[in-house]
Amino acid sequence: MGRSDIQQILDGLDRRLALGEIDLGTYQSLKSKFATQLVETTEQPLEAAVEAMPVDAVALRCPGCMAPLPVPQDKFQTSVTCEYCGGSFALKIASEEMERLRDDVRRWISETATKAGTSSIIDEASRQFIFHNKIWPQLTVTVDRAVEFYQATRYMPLFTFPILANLESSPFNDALLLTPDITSLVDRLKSVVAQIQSPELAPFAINDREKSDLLALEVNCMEVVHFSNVRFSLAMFTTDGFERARTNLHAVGGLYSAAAETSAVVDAAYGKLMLAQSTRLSADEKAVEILAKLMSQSEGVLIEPMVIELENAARNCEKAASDIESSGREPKETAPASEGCRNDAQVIQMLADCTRIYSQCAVESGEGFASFLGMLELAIDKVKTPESDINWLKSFLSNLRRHMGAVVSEIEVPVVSDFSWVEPLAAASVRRSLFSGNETYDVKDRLLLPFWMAEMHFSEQKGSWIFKKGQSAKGLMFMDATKQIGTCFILLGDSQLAEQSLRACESPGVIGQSALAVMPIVSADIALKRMKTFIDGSEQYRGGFVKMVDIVYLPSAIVRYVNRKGERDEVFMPIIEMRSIPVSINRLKLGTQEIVLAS
Amino acid sequence: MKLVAVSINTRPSGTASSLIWDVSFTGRGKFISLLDKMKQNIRDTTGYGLNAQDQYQRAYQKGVFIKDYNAAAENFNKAFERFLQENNAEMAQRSRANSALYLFINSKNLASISDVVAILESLQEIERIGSDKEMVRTAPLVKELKALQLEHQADQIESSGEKKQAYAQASDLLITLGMEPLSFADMLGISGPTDKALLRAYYDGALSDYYGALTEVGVSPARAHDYLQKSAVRFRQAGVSDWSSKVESYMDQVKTKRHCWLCGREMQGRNIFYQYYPANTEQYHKKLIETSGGDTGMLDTEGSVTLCTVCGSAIEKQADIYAMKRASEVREWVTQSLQSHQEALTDHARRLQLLENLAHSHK
Repeated sequence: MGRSDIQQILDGLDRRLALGEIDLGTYQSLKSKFATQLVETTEQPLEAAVEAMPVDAVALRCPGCMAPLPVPQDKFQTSVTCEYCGGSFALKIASEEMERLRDDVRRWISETATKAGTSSIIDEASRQFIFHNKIWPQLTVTVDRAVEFYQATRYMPLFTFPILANLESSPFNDALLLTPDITSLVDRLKSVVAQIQSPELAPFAINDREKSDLLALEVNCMEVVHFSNVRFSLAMFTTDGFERARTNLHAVGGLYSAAAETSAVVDAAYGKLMLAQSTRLSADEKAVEILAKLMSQSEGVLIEPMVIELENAARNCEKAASDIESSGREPKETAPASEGCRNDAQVIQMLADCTRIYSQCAVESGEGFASFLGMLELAIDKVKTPESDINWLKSFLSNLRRHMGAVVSEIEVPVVSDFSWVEPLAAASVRRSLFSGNETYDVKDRLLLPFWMAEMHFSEQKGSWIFKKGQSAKGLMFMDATKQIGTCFILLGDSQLAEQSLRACESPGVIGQSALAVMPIVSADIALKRMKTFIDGSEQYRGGFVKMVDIVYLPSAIVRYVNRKGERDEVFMPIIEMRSIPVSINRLKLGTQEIVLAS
Repeated sequence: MKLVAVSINTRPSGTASSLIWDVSFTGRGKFISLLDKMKQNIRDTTGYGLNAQDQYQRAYQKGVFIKDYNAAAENFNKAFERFLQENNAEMAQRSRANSALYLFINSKNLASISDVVAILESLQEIERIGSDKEMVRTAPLVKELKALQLEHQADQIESSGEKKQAYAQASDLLITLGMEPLSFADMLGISGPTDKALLRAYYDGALSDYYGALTEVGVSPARAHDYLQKSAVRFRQAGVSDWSSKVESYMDQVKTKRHCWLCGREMQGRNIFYQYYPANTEQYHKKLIETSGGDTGMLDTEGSVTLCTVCGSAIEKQADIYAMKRASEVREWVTQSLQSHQEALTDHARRLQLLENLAHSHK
């Protein structure tokens, strides 16, 4: 037992007497015994090295996650809550656990040194020999085996926000499923982390290379634990959860920065990787901070600066991904690390989009962001399918942002708002019956339906047999953007609607409140795929080529017809091929605005 | 043929002769125009008598636009010959290129890509496939075709190392095209992404890394792990989830390490360089390893222990040798035993026969 241990025991005796754990007689006899031992203990070079260590290197560790426990504020405090995992532990248990681990470490070091054939006076050369031949191989094997099943989660995404939780699958949800339960993880790692972090081991890591390697091992162990805390805490979407996530991110960020500094000379590539990872975690921490503010605020918060900060954080993540790729480390690290970085960047950007939509729709009404997200989730639930993944959601939010921007007259989009055809068509569609009488009609709603528009080039065939010949033709193809499986039509020649659509693309405008605009939910990529499938399946258009132009909002109208028997609604469009289309609309409140979805 | 009276101001009107002249002259004009039309129809139908430009147009009208790409290729070839005769080298070259292109699209014969590439490389631009008006640069078409050719070669090659090279070259070609749509991939019915060049580049890159891993795994599982990690990420980027799952499953095998219980060496690659062998193991053995700071992974599967393939195969082969030796000893013993039984039985049979003969003779 070293001098510092004996001194600690002596210091602890005072506290234990104060807490009433021991009586005065026991206190006096123990104090006398240990004070005698303190005097008798001869100094060893190893113990001297240990005593030279700073005091905080021996701080109390959480039994649940091995993170440093906060210092008790009150000397009568008997339990403490870990700010990393949220677990509460009695100080006594934490202290005993730590003592047990330290005893194990001391025994291990002593046995290792003995097996190496060295004497009790261990000089620097011997310590270096022991480190390279005994300690380091054992530590690396133990750490490798303890974390091997969880290495896959090391670089996976760390950031999410509520609406992603409802997707069937997303990179963060996949990471959460693979992230181990902290209890089983800590059981595997406790002993080896105690060994790595113990002051008794530090004297054996003589030079910078060894110190850097030890720190790298510590990083390998602790990041898995902290990332488990981050993911599970963040997935709770509560104030405590956000705080805990930030604390853990900050802790790992600190480890990465320390590792970058320590290894800057001995392993530049590793240093660069750690620095880039540290940048990623800072961006994630910032995103969690802003998410926490948004989720807890009710009013009086400036949104625009938050959007800018989120977009900066997303850019920093992207930059970190590039830095990781150019760090010079092996692809088995850089490939998944940069992928995880990019996933985080994508999700942070999506949060920025949501926040911008919130500022367009809801912030003025005083509605909270959490409530707004709830309404957004309802809208997403109405339109998503089991195949809807994070890329679909990203495109949905992007479409929503553009759509709401056009509705509130901030953004211009191609709009054909000519409704002059409605009345004549409605009148012509009146049904007359002897029994039910003539219908009366009323134009209930004027709608603007979004369609993906593409230029289509194909060939037209005339004649048959040996007289068959073809010529090139072109038209405009429209794909319904309001439904996952929507209708499609083609306008050939110089129809009025085709001309109006092309003019609208050249001179876009705002939607405003003139008509009910239905929201597009189909991305450009999906629309293009559907168009190609349509063309390939068509005898007339097979071999044709499409070039996507943009989403165009086309006019349509809901007309209600009433007669003695009852009533019916028809949705008309100004196209002969699609006079009446099966559309029903759902209106959902989103803050002060309304979004209209088709079904 | 209908004669129509139409006034033409060449003769004084009013006289009978002038009327006859007028009518006959008008009818002759119509007849000539009708003849011309018939000639044109015959030319259109048969292709006979067309000049080079008409032949070129015919390739579209009677080939491309009615999706008869074989006819298109033939007509473009005829146009090529006629342009040569007219000393129009540029159009001749373009005709030849179109002929090769449509022949390739019709046959889908990937082995003929090099001919198409050779011809296209001599042109700066050509009509987009399916169009007679829109011109596109040939450079992206050439890159795509070369990439397809490399993929085809990779499919035919047996060697993983050469496959790796071929797919890597294909990926490098396609990555320069960025998010441009592919022109040929869709038509050929090949697997993988066929819409955008960048996605196909990721796909080819991922295949290259996969075969790189297969090449390296026998020498360095650590390098194989690097390749597999890159491959998995690229397959995910290309949106090919079945391949990325397959690669990840293989990667789980390649990356794990264990020490051999017998020789104590650390090996990387489950079922590649170490395996689990059945053994009687207890908690005591695990604790022993733990306390001595050894590799607890050796006993992480109930009733099994890890042996490297060297030690394991040495035991298996030696066991085989002993088994064979024992089997041949048993065979020798059985043969001898059976032979002596056979002799005894033969002797008994002979005696029975003798007794039977004697019994008959006494009757």
